[in-house]
Amino acid sequence: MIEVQNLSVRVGDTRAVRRVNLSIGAGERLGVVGESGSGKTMLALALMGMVPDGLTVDGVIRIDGNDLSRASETTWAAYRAQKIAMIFQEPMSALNPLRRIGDIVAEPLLVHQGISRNDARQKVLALFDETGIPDANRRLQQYPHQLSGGQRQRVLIALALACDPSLLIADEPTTALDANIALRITDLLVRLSRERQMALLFISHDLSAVSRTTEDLLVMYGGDIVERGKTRHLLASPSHPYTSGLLSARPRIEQNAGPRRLPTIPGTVPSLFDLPPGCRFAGRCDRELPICRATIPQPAATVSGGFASCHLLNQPSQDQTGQAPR
Amino acid sequence: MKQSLLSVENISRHYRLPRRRLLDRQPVLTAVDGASFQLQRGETLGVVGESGSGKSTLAKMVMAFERPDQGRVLFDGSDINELSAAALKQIRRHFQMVFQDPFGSLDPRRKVGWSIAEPLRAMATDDLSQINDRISATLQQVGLQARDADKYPHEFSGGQRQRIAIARAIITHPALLVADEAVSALDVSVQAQILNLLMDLKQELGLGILFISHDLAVVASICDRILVMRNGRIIETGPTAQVLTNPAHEYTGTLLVAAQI
Repeated sequence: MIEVQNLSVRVGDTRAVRRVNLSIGAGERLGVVGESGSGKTMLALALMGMVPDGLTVDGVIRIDGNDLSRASETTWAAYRAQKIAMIFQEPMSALNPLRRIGDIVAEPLLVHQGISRNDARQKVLALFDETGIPDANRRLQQYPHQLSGGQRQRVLIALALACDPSLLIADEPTTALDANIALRITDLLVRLSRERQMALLFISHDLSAVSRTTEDLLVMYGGDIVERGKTRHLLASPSHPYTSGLLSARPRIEQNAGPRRLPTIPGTVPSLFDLPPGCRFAGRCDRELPICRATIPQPAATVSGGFASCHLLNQPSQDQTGQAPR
Repeated sequence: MKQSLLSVENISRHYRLPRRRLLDRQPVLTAVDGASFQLQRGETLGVVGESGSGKSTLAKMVMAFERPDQGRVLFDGSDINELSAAALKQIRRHFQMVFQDPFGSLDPRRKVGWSIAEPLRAMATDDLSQINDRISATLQQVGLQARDADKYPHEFSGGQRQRIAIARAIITHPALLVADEAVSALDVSVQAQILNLLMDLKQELGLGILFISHDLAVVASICDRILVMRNGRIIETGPTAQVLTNPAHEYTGTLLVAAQI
C-alpha cells in the first residue's frame, strides 16, 4: 500500500526527518507519536508531496507500487485526494468559511472524478452518513461556522474520503477537540479504516489517543524513529529511554490519586539546528553512555517485540557478563 | 471558623448574544450558573470541563476581570466587587493569574525582566530601588537564571516562557494563583516540569491555586480537590481520589475514559 525507505527531509545542513522506514498495508493503522519538533508533521507532509519550498526529500516513497520520490507536482496532485488524503488539527482553518459544506465536500468529486453535480450530491450524502453527520440534507446548505468542532472534523474526514483514498493521514485530528468528542472521532477513524480496508497514519502527541486508535506505533524524537513496535506491547514495556520518559512524565489517573511530583525528562526539546550528531536524545537522557553523543545508534530488537535505536540495547547485558542465561 | 482564602458564593454570569433578527429579543447565554466553592490557603483546587463549560468565565470573575450578575466573590473575607477601584488595585497583588499561551502573554519587544516587574510597577507602592533583586530572586524561584532578565521572549522555549509567566505572577507574593490552561500548550516532557514547579511553589509559598484545565489527568496529578463543570454548572465536586474512583456523574466517567492508555 504505502512503503517508505530511507526517507529524509533536509533543511539546509540538518535533517528534520532522518532515514525513516515504514510501511502500512490495507486496513492497517500506524501511529506516530512525538513532541513538537520531532519531525512527525514533516514526515506526513513528505508522504503527501507537500514539503515546503527550500526543503529537500531523499529516499523512496512507494504508493501502490509506484515510486513517487522523484514525481512531478502534477503526478503528486493526481495521487493526492485519489490515493492519499490528509486531515488536519484545526478543522476550522482547513475549511473555506465562505463556501457551503456540501460544495466543499463535492469539489474533489467534481475535479478528480468528473461526475455530475447530481451524482456528487448523492455521494456527499452517503459520505455524511458514513462519517456520522446527522441531518445530512440540511448540512449541505450550511457554512463551516454553523457546525461544532466535532462536526467540522467529521466534515473534514468526509472530504478526505471523497475519492476513496487508500491511505488517510490524520495529523493531530483530536488535539483541538474536547475529550468526549475526541473519543468519538478516534472510534470513527478505526471503523472507517476497517470497513474501507484503508491504511491509516495517525499522528499525535497524545498517547491515549494513539493507543486507542492504532495497532503499530512509531516514536519520533528529533527527526529519528527512536522506537517502533506493536502499540499495546510498546506502551506496556517501552525500551528507549525517551519512550519511558514520555510515558512516566505523562499525568495519569491512578486509584490512590492525589497531588504528586511527576518524573520529568530534563531540559527541553532541542531546536532542529541544535541536535547532537549521534543519538538525538543525548544530553537529555538519564542513561547516556560516552558513545551516544557522536554515534548514531542502530535499531535493535526490544523486549516488546519491536525495535529501538538505542546504544543501551547493544551493550553486553548482565546475562552475558555475569550469570549464564537460564 | 477559619476564613477561606477564596469564597465564591452562588455566582452567575450571563452574556447577551447578537439578535438573530432585528426585532427578536436578544438571546442570553448563561456562562456560569450559580457556582459556589471555597479555596483554602495552600490548597490546589482543579476546575475541569470541556470548552464552553464556563471554566474561563469563572476564572475571570475570581480575578475581578468580570463582574458576576449575581452572587459574591470573597477574597480573604472581603467582597472584591464592593471595593473601590483603588482598594481593588491594592489587593490585586494578592491574586495573580497565569494564562495558557506563553507566546501571546509576553511583550515580544520588552526584555523579560521588564515584563516580570510590570506588576510591581503597576502597584507602585513597593520600594522600586530593589526591583532588580526581586526580579533575580523570582527568576531563580521558577528555575531560571538571574541573567535571563536581559533576554527577550523569543530566546526562550515554550516551557521557559511559561516559567517567565509564572515568575510574573508570583513576584508580588500573591496568596492565590489562578492558572487557566497553564500547561495545555506544552509538550508532555515539559508539562511535567511546570506541574512540578507549581507544586513546589505551593509548598514554599503556601499558595492557594485555582487550576483550570480540560485535561482530567493533568488536574488529577496536581490538585487536592476537583470541581467538574458542565454547561456553566458545577456538576461534581470532591477530593481528587473520590472523584476519580467513584465519579458521581456520567460526564466525569467519560473524561476518565478519554485519559486512559
